[in-house]
Amino acid sequence: MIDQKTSIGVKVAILSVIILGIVILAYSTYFISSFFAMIGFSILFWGVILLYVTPTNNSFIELLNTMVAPSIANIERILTEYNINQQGIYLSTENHNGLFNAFQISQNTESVLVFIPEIPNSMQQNNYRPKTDVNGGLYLTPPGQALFKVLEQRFGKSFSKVSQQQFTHKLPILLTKEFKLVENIEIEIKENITVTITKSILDQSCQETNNQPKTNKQIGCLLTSAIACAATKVVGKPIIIQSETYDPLSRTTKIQYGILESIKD
Amino acid sequence: MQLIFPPLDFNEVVIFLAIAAIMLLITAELSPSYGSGYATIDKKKLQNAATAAGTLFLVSMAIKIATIMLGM
Repeated sequence: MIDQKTSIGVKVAILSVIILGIVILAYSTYFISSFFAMIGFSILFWGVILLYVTPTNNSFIELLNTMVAPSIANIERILTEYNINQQGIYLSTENHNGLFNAFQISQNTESVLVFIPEIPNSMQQNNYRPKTDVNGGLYLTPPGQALFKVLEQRFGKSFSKVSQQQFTHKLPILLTKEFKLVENIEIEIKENITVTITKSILDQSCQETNNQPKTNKQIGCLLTSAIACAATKVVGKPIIIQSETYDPLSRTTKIQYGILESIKD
Repeated sequence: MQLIFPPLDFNEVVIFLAIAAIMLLITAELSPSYGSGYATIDKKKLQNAATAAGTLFLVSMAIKIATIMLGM
């Protein structure tokens, strides 16, 4: 994603190239030098081409941000209205069949839900039993659900059938080479899951969710949420987002996911 | 045929256009539409520029052939 500072820098660099080309071309005309004329003409030509082909904005990302914003705003509104401040717990409905009966949801459309408990500190309990009724907290569709479904389709099978090794190896290839959403991503699964993302084009989208502090903190932004959805199916246990830190200098996001021990229903 | 501005021979301009057109066409075909890098490019505009450079080269070649055939 081209931010405003980078965009200005690119424009200044291109204009400098054009000016240099014009100066060399003028010099060559004054001294009637074909050698300098060729150099000046080449620099000017490529400067103009660069100016023409460099976009001022990235319409793909703008479109994506626009589509994600209302869903995140809705989640923020619900969390604020019910005054729920606990961390969201990502649950795979494949591992918690009771959820299907409680909400009559379709496994194809919502295979992962995020549960936000009402009771303070319940997420810190090591043994978490998911509720099968609407009391005790909120069940929401995660903001990264759609992206997660696309990733699952590209994997060619459900994430619940993907091994941890496959997940840590194939997901980075998918996000960097195929979707080109991030420049680099490292996933490490031990007691917890650590994900380090470098230069994501969804940074802008995630920064916009900073305006929705509850959603950002409790559920996570688009990519964070999509990875949490995938991870909960891969490990077969509930997942919470423990921390998410962003370094604007290196454009690196470090996300720490916690794995909860669940008692299956 | 020597141009006054820039002081280039017509043949030099033809060669320049040929090289530029090839480079632009290859870049337009190989470049991604979007990506995570800083220097993203508009692929559609790049293809237009490549087509324009290629057309200019073909026109210059037609002029060159016409000049030879007319014995100018």
